[in-house]
Amino acid sequence: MRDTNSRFVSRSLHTRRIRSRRISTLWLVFALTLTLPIASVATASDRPLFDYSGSPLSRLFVDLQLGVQAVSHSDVDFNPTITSVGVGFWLFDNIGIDFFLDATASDDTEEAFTLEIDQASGFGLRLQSPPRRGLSLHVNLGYVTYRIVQLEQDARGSREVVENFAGARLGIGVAQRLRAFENILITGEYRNYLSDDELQADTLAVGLRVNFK
Amino acid sequence: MRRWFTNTRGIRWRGLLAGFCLLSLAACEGDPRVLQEAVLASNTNLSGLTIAFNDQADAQAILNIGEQLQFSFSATNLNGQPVSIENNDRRWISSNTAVGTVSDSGIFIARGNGTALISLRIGGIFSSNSLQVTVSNAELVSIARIAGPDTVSECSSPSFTAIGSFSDGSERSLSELAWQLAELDDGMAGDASIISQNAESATIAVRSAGTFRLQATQDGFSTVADIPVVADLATLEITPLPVNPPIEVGQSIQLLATANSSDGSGAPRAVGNVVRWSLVEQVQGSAVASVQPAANGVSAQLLGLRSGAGTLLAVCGSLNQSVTFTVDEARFDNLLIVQVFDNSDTEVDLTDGEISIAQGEIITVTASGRSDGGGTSERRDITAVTDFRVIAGDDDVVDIELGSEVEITGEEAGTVTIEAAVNGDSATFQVTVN
Repeated sequence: MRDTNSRFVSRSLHTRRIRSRRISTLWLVFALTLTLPIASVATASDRPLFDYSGSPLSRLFVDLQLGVQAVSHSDVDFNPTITSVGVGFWLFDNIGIDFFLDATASDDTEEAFTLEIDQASGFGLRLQSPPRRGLSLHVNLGYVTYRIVQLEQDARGSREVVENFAGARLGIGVAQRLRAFENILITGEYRNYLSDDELQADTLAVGLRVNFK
Repeated sequence: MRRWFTNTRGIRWRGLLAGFCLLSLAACEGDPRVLQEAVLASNTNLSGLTIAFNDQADAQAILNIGEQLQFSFSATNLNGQPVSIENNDRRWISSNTAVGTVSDSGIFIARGNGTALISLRIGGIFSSNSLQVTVSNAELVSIARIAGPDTVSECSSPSFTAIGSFSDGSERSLSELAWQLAELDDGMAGDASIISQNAESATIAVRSAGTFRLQATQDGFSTVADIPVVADLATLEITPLPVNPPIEVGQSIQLLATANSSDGSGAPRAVGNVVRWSLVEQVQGSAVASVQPAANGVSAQLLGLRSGAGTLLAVCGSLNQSVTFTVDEARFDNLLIVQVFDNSDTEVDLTDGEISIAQGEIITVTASGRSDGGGTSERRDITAVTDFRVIAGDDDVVDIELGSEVEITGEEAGTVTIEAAVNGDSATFQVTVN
């Protein structure tokens, strides 16, 4: 009995260490996203986001991102990865709207379960701070709908659970304009999909933004 | 940021922002229980589910609109062993939500005439059965009969329900009943009493052969059933648990009573809730023990009060059984006096302390201690063998009522010191009545 308990405790601690490492990795990626652009292109220009007298096309921007997610329920944590594409339109200087679509890059397995956010999409309002040396902060507030696919394989067989969720999308991020390519920015963003207290779904994403100016 | 606010001045962006947030939050949907149940099912190796109401897994129910019915379920794992899963936050399924819906805790609420099948799903496992509920709004026109055994044995505790006839021609179990035992026409009656009843059923303690008349009433309708009681018991046995225990003052033991039928059929049945318990050969005021039916309804508690020997008598119908016992003296230490509260686990330690109460206010206290003899050091409730008395101050300040719990009532303004004394130890506390 003691051996069994010891194994259980050991396994539990091992699992905690892995989760702790994963969370640390997520934050490290986010921190790098914040600091590297600042260090590398600190002198980028702070010109307006679009040309007011130009064509509507100049107000468009596209985000391409890779993200690591933290999905948690029933004391089980998953870290699937996603690719994300977003298209936005600046309504005013530093105020825009965007639409995004996420797709699975990889799923994650914990215990008897494999989980992925099969797809997510939504829209929102983007509020951005005026750039300082090419660096800006932004906040996204909007709506998201996403689908979770959870596959279970244990002694009882194999089962797949698919459930659709919808709710608020809250995001905060940074963007740093590149000195060499002024229409391209390096971006980092934290997102929270808020649909139910019993389900946590967060994303840390890094990528590029292209302005069609 | 200041520039940003300046740029957006005059535009109701903050209102728009708030609207966005509210809309997004209001649009929340999705049920994480689907994911959580899968984990629960995996952790418990859940393999089978069976649903029931009123402990019946193959019954049909007929309800009026607005009536409710509690569903329950049992779960088994891969090995067929029972699995404990709480019946809350579950996804019960009604095949026709216009007829009725089922809450997360399994309560069906009848909403419209028709039929619905009720089932349950947990973590991809569907209940192996589904139960039909028919909703038909109809009036009760009579109580058709009392349902239960036609004949009962002496020293038993049968349960009864009642079936009603309704205006739509259906017969249904009634759920707003009042029960009573009625006089028989010819005066013949057995020794029976209602030991528990609710709006759906009554349990009768039947102690002797003869006949008893049970009456059920609902909505002004009433019916009776005359139930014959047969004398078919051969033995009545009393089993103290533990067997032949060393009973100390302040210690209680459990007594089980079992009866065996004269034809030898059937297993011995527990009759602790039916027998009449008493202590014999005791001089008033010097009882060595007290005996009370236990709250579990199947046994009795024998509590040692004074050192000495006693005899316990259990009578049921024509059968009786006696047990002799001895109560040993005990000395206690670590006497602890606490204030207890109704409907709460909270206790306040009063030992060597003080408490203020208002005139007319009643506080309840208990005493516990450790026996330094009898080979046990467990703290136990010794309120019944502890004496509480005023040792300083005016006796009229408080009224002390002794018993299994001691009630102290504030009578007049003043302060008294109360001593709780038991063989071997004592403690005091002060009571101020404002």
